[in-house]
Formats: sequence, C-alpha cells, structure tokens
Amino acid sequence: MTEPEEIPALLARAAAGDQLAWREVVQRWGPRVFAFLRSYTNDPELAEEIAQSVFCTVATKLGDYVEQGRFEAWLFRIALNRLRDEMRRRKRHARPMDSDVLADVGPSARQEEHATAEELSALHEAMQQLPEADRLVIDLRHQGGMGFQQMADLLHEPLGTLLARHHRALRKLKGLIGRRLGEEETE
Amino acid sequence: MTSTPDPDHSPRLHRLLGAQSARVPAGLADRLYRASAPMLPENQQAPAVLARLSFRWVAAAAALLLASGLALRFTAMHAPDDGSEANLTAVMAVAGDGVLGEDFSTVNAMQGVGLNDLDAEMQLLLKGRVDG
Repeated sequence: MTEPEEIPALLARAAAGDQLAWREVVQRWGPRVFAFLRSYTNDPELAEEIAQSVFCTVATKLGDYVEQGRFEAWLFRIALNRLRDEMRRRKRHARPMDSDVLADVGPSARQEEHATAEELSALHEAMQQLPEADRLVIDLRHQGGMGFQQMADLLHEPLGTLLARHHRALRKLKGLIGRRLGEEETE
Repeated sequence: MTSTPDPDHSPRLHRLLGAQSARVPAGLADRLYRASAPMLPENQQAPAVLARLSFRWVAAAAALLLASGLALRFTAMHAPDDGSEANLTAVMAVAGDGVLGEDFSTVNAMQGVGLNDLDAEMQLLLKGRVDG
C-alpha cells in the first residue's frame, strides 16, 4: 500500500494514464468511500452505484487536480455532493437493516468482526437518531477513515470545533446504542 | 478496514463501527476500477484526436473554399463578354424599379432571346384551353 508521502506521485501517475496507479487509488479509497456511502444510505447497491459515479468523476477531473495534501477532502466532497444529489433525487429514506444487507458481507469480514446483526441494527438505528452534522462526522471518521484535518478541510470547519463535535457525537451514539440494546455500556 | 480508536470509544462502539466499515462486497474495487479507468485523462484521447482532426478538416475545407473562390473570380475576369451580363443587369435594374410588372414585352426587348418562345407557347396553351 502506498505511504502517505507517496500519494502525490501516485495521483500524478494515475492522471498520466498509469492504469496500475489508478487501480491502487481505487483499491485504497474505494472501500472507504463505499463504507461511508453505505452507512448513509443503508443500501449497498445504491452506495456502490454512487461510488462508481464518484470515481468516474475523480478519474475525469484528475488531470486538472493539483495535489496539495487534500485529496481525501476533495474525494469525499465529491462523494458527499453525489450522495446528497442522489438522496434528493430519489427521496429515499433509510430502511431498517435486514438480512439481505448482512448476506452481502464477505464471510471473512463477518468472522473477523464479532458484531451481531442485532448490534449492527442498533448501531444503524442510533445513527439515524443523531443530528445530521454529528452523523456526518462519525461516518466520515469511522466509515470513510478520514483524518480530522481532512475532515476540517472538507467541512470548512475549525479543527477544534470538529474534534468537539466528534467527541459529543460519540457520547450520544454510545448512549443511544446502550438504550437500544437494553444494557449499560461497560468501559 | 478498522476504525481508528478514539479516546471516547467504548470497546463495543469501536467494534461495531469497525464491523460496519469492514462490510465491503467482494470485488468492489475491481468494479469501481473497471467503471472509472476509461475516464482517466489519457484514456479520453478519442475526443481529443477527433477535435484535432476536425480542426484540420475545417482548415482544409476553408482552404478549398478560398481556392475555389479565387478560381471562379479568375474565370469570371477572363471570360469573353457576350453581352449577356449587360442584359441581365438591365433586367435586374428594371425589376428593382418595380416597372416590370407583367409586361413581358419589356423583358423581351431587353433580354432579346428566349422569352419570345415562352410567350408564344403560353399563348398557344391559353388558346387551347379556351377552345377546348
């Protein structure tokens, strides 16, 4: 996997038409963008559809992009815009998580992560109850795997504000999940 | 993929967030790659080449038109004067003045050729219609 300091060179190679470089870009960020989108939509097919659109846009514009350490912010900005456009267009509401969603998960992932369907359902429901801004911060951080500085660039917010919101959002989420599962969190 | 630990994470919350982010469909990256790779700038050569070709075609067509125009002009300048141009100019002048009307004889007089036959033919037709 490419080290962070090698990302500008990787992007430059991809922009020059290097297929291997572009494949690495997609492998590195594709699952993170997908996870972010899926968490938001709770619909794997829609999330993948939007992710494809996002990477097509990035590939198209990569030639004009000048990397200044903000690629992730740029990438997730495109993803966020696509997501909002799509949700507005479809006027979809998130559905309760069902077994179809879990069936889509690779067996290795299910074995590695010992989360039950009930727990994941509780997480999803709790996320739905969070304010939009809190939910976005948690999704970008924990599904998109973004760094706080990149998130601050993306959301045009001071880093301190973002950190505080993330802290509050996690506390809310923890409480909501605990109530949903009918037990108190043990630290 | 695993979620980065944060100070406020409870173990369970961390585990759930990590589990959710790990749920990536098999072959996702390949599908994303196949869909997006053709969009890379270097793979968008066809439109660019087409644009360059179009420009060349436009330039070639413009040069051809210019050459044709020059050739026509040269031909016109060196064509023998048979008087037809003067006749045509006179007819156009009369038509422009609005005095031509339906007086074919005026045209006949100035054009001198062709319309006499047309006039005779029309007379025959009209006569035939009346007689018939």
